[in-house]
Amino acid sequence: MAVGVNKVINFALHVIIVMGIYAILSVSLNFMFGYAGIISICHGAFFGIGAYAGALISLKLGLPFALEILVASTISGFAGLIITAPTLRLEEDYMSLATYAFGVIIFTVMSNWHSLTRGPLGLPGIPPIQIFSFQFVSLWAYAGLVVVFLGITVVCMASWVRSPFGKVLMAIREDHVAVSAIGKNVAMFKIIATFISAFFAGIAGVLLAHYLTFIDPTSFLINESFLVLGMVIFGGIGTITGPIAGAAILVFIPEALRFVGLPSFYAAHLRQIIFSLLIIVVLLKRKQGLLGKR
Amino acid sequence: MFLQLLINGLISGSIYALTAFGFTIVFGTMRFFNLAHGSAYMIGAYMTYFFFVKLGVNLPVAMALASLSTMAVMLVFDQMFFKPFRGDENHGWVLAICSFAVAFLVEPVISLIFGTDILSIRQAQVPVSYHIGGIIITRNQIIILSVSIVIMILLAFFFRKTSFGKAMRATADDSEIADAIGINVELVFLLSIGLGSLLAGTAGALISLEIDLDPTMSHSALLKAIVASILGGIGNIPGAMLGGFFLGIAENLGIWKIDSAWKDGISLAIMMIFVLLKPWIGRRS
Repeated sequence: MAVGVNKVINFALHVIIVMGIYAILSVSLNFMFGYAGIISICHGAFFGIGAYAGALISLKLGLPFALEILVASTISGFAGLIITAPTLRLEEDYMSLATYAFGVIIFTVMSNWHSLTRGPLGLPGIPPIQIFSFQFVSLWAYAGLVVVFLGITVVCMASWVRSPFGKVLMAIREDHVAVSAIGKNVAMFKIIATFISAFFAGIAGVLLAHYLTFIDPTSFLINESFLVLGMVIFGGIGTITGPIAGAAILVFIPEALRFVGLPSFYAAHLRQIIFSLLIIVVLLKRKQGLLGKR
Repeated sequence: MFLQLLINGLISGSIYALTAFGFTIVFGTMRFFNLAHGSAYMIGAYMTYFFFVKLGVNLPVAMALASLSTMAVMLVFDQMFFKPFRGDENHGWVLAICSFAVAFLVEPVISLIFGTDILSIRQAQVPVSYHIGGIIITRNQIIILSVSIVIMILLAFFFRKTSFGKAMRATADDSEIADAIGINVELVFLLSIGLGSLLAGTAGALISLEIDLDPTMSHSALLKAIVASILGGIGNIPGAMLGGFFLGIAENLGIWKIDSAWKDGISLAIMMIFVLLKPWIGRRS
């Protein structure tokens, strides 16, 4: 009996950690997509850049965690600049193509830059996070850490959205010509929004790398990007709670399928089928998403 | 070496050209990026495997059946998932996401039916190759090249001479005016999706002679279609075909010097250079 309870608790903690990481990702994507209207099908790439940067920093340089997460996320943020800066003029649907292409490029780089990323072999043995002398090894501690980071992300995003900066972003989403007509530098606002968004995606990546202790390029396929975009659309574009709910629900379904004992081959595919049908239904029947208002 | 790579480039280029056609025509008439287009290519390849290896139909018939069933599947998807958005303002990105979701749906379905292991049609046939002046070309490659050239000639005829073809070109030019002068725009949309996926299915059927099948093959096909369409000016049919050939040749000449694992990277780099030099060439406002 005690074994059963332990299993349930460990499963619950694992789900909370994964949900938390994806919630950080979807909240960060929502910042650029939901508020600034910049579509991105490459959030998985920022996530991956953060994870790889974090893993490499802790494996090769051994920097303290606070510095590691800052540097890794900044690298991811700059990757956001690289893709957005040349494509700022594009309309939303063209933006979807450009970011899709970028996601594929990053995946190609991860799988082929053997000397840095070890290609498809991946990076094993990523050490646990250590803050002062405390190591985040137990699931309890890690879940706590992830929840703290999710809290920081949500508080930052929520306050920035309400700030004058956020108001300008929303105005850009509605009518970027009007915003530039009142003298705002639309390009600069979009660039900052992407940087912030990719920065937080990088944080999620670092957390994932230390949780799994092993990363390889297949964790950051274009499908991953679409998964995150789906969480935002499903939960509700342009809301704070929507993406969190989207992440929680869309992470819970497949984990639950696996927990009830479905073989992982079927669970993985069934999850993808359910997921894509949910996205299609939301787009067809309730475009504002589960918690969106319009 | 150069000639060999050029021939290889022409062969992969003809596959890219066939795939790019559907991507560009759907944007031309329906104004959205059909990110499920790579799935049509994959369905074509898998259906060829199904008819040829599982049912034992002879190869040309299997390929024809595969192309037709691809068209049927994509038309059903269109009716179910894309049609409700027609006439919707700003439907561009919504349809792009929706079609991506369709692609996302096709992948696990294929995996569940055929398994995730690599499948091969090549093993079922005896490889025949010819040596012409230092160039090696297989019989399958000759089939690919000649079938694609015949299809392209038929397409040129279709778009120039038949009223359906003219209606499609008119709709691509301006769908509202086409509607106003009595062109059945809905029929044009069906033709675009149908013809586009028929050719993508054919491309998939043809490529299954040359490469092994796996459920992620749609990604690279979609990527090539996107790059070729953008090189040729999105919505521009001959442009997309030329773009496909250009891409095939550039890639094959590229791997002369660069590791072939970077192939996708090369095509995207070409696209990025193009985009930066002359943004979205041929785009109509």
